Amino acid sequence: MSARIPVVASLPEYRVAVAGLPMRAQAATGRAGAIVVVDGAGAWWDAAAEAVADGARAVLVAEPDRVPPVGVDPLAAESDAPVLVHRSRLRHDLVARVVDARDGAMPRVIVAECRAYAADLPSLVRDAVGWIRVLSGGPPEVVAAGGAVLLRPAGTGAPIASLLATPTAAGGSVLRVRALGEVTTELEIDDPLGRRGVSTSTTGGRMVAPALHESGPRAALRRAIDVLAAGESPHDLADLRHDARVASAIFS
Amino acid sequence: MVWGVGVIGAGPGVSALHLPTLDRVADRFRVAHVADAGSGRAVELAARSGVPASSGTSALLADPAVEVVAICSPPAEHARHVRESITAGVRGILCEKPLATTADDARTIVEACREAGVPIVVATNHFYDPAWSRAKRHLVSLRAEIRAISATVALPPNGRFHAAVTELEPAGAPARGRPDLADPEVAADVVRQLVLGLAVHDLPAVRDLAPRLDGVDFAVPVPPIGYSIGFRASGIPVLLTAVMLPDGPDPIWRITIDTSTDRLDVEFPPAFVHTGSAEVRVRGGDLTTTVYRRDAEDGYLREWRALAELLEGSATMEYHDVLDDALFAVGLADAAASSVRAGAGA
Repeated sequence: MSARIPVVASLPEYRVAVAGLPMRAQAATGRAGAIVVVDGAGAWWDAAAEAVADGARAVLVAEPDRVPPVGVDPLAAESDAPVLVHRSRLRHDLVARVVDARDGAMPRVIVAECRAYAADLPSLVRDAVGWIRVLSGGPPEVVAAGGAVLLRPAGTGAPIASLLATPTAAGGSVLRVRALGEVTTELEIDDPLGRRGVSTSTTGGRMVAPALHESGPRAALRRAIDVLAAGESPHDLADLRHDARVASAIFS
Repeated sequence: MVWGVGVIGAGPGVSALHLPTLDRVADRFRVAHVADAGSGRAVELAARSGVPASSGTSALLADPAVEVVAICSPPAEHARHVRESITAGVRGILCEKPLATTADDARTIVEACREAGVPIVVATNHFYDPAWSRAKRHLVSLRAEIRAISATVALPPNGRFHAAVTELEPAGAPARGRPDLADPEVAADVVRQLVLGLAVHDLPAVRDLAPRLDGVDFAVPVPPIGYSIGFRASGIPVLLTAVMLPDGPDPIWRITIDTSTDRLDVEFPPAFVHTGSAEVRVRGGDLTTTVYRRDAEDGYLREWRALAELLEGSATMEYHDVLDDALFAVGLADAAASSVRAGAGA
């Protein structure tokens, strides 16, 4: 049991996640040498920097809301410890499942349709940009905008993408992304209905991905432990910064 | 009454779509004559129905058995064939989409039909699909503001759907070429043709909800053949996406309408096959999900039934709607081509 990593978490869902990893994690209060879970609702970049300064082995940011460059850029540049980010609509195990199912096939074109209450739309669009980044194999940039938005990844041969961001008066957040091509991925995440559908289609038929039964926080915490064990340097913060910057450009 | 139909055109679309469709509306129409443009293909197609075949339009339009024409020639020929048909005194016209490739042709055609009192139906089958009427009724009853429209199309080659409804000569379905989309002029021409040949399926439905074309924000080609077009109509953002694939999964052809409360998805069946209407799904703002029952008939059948109603006087011919649809499509095609040429989004 001595191999268990201490985890400092005040968010209830992460305390549950720690309890759900009894062989690898244990609840702790001291930050030194621990994975520190930071609530993304507030000034999480300050909290993360403080945790690093206190000797955290890693920081896990849960559902970051705002992503101000003035706060996040110094954290990304100066943190000695890995900073991981959990975005429930872009959780890493779901991303891996989608990417694996495509087996390296590049889509021809990507379409993202976002609908949400106006206040929630920026973060939804940010996650849509993240999905475009993942599916196109490179960070996309806005090249034209009006009612809809056209994005183009930097890579040669990478597909273009388009995005619609629709404010709604009812019904909550729904994200739909389609990567069309010889291999087609269809993803729909309906937060209020609690539905998350992923399918991959080829000439051979349509494969519906099995449900993810593990909670997002547990999966995120498990990944943090794995990252530490492997000595990896995740680029979560850079990805988040990129996606937020592009989303900001869309709304500017 | 059963109306005799002269079919102008003898390509794969006639073989795989129009002739099998006419067989399904035999209570109202029968094939009377088939004409090609010199390929000789009309002979075999006409023989299926035991009717005359010819090349060019003269013999077909002079055939007293031809009361109605189905204009299935290449789009650039539609205007001429409509005018010739009116001059010959046909009673009604079903014209494949697009009605015309220029605004002037569209105006001339519709005015000629109006003056002659000849009803004309443009074969925009998605608009005639019973599912579209159902979706429109839902939207009207909802009284919610429409906030975005997205039409997404991904099509594998037509061969597998042709094979489901007919048998074609080996050369009957020409392979799709690979235009050089890096050339702005080529790309602009491809996008313009695709708007008038592919997007035009959905544009009458878009115009039904957003009648005024405000402007194109971007238009880019999608390889190997396709487009991504963002435009605004009546203040509503519209996104059109299409890709025609050399191989791939079953087609996606979906119109999504986002309102201030509900989201409607209208999912159309593949072209050519007659598997019933599109499906309408609604995700309500109250978090209920509704799937409307599909109709046994599709838009291909309903467009012929619409023509029958016009011929029999049980429906009113709205010439201005036909013209406005055509002008909307041509206007969008021209604006999208200009955007591609200008390198918008390049």
